[in-house]
Amino acid sequence: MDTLLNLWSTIESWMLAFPVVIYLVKIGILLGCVFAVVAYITLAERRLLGFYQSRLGPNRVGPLGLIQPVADGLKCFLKEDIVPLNSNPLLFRLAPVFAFFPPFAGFAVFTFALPWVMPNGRTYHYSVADVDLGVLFIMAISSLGIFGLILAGWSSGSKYPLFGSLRSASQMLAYEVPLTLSVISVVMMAGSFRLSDIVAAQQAYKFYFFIPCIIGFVVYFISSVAEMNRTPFDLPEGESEIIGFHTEYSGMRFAFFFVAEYANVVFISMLAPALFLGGYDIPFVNDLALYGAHPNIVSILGVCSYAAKSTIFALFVIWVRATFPRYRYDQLLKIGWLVLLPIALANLFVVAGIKLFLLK
Amino acid sequence: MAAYLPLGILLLIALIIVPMTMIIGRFIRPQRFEVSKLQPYECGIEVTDSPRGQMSVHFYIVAVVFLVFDVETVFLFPWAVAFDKLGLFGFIEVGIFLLLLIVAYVYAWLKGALRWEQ
Repeated sequence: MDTLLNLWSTIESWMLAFPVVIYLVKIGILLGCVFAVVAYITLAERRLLGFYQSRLGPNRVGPLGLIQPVADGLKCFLKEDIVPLNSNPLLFRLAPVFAFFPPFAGFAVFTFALPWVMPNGRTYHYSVADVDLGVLFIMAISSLGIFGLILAGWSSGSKYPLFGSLRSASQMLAYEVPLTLSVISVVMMAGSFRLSDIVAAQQAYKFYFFIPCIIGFVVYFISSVAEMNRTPFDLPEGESEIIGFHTEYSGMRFAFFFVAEYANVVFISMLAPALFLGGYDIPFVNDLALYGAHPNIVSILGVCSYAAKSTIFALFVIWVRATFPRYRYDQLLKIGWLVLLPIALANLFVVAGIKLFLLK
Repeated sequence: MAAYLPLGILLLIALIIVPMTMIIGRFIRPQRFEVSKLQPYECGIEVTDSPRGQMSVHFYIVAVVFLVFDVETVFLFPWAVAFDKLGLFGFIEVGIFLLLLIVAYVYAWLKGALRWEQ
């Protein structure tokens, strides 16, 4: 044990001399976890949709189909890369980059648990960069995804992707405003943009923010499903019926759009618990008092609690996909502009009133 | 500012992943080009007219309405963070601000900017 501790303190002094090493290790762990989760959420969705429709779903590659995501990735990786003659080659190649990076970069500002304490008293945070403008950064970077769609549709040099991308862009614009407004109500309750502060505020209030912001939570859920382009708002994809923005894409470039969509699902399912469901707070237990006694047990349980909450949220999103039929395009825009937007504004006032008159 | 350094590193890594994979894949994937393979999608027939045709003006109107409300949310963010300090004064002030916007919203609604079925 002593030799291990000595070894660790040597490693630690090296890492403290070069903090970039700590960042890179954290980023490596984060991206590894995110890629694994994204790969397996595709499998989970296909299997679950299979069960919902009385099928088995993919179960051939490996036990229970567990190697299926690897096989899918490898297949797309080995496909020919086609850039159509009519397209604008540079923008055509740039579009998947813009679609792909926002959710992955957004994971940086999450905090996954209370800090881990080493035997020598040094603490390590479960986050890559818990910056003070976390929520603002998330809202800013997730709107960049629209650029990917527009670029993909326009640069394809084909009519149908262009129509598809305009449709998707106006859908995402319509639902971004209610999404932002519902997030603002949470920011107002917490009084901070930092995600760990928002969770700390929920621990301090001893109730989760979905209680005062229940309307905001519903609006957030509906509009995030629309932002993720999933059923019942999946007009941008419309897998078998309508032509979407990525018609001209094939092989690995198409796979990047596909991965980006599922990364968005994971991203939204990890953001929702932090904002509305208490994040890494363990329900029915006073975390902060426990943390004083056994910090490391609480931080591990916190990671588990966070993971459980976001898994439930993600399964709920898959359940919605299995249950609801698709909206017509005018209905979709009507729900966004004429229903969700006024409700989100009203929610903002309700929450402001609660904060001003009830919590003082 | 130093807190943003790992954020920047992750942003760069996330940006690099796609081009890197495409460059590595270039040595593995087949490349057998053919003119008919590189034609845009047109249900199998010859491409008939230009892809850069006219658009429905409604897309532009939606974009303008979005701009109005997005700028509104930009103003609401600082208010939400400073809500504890502003108190009732801030509540009423933002109420007036939103009331003005709701007037604009109703105007756009009555003008038919938010109507799609024709």
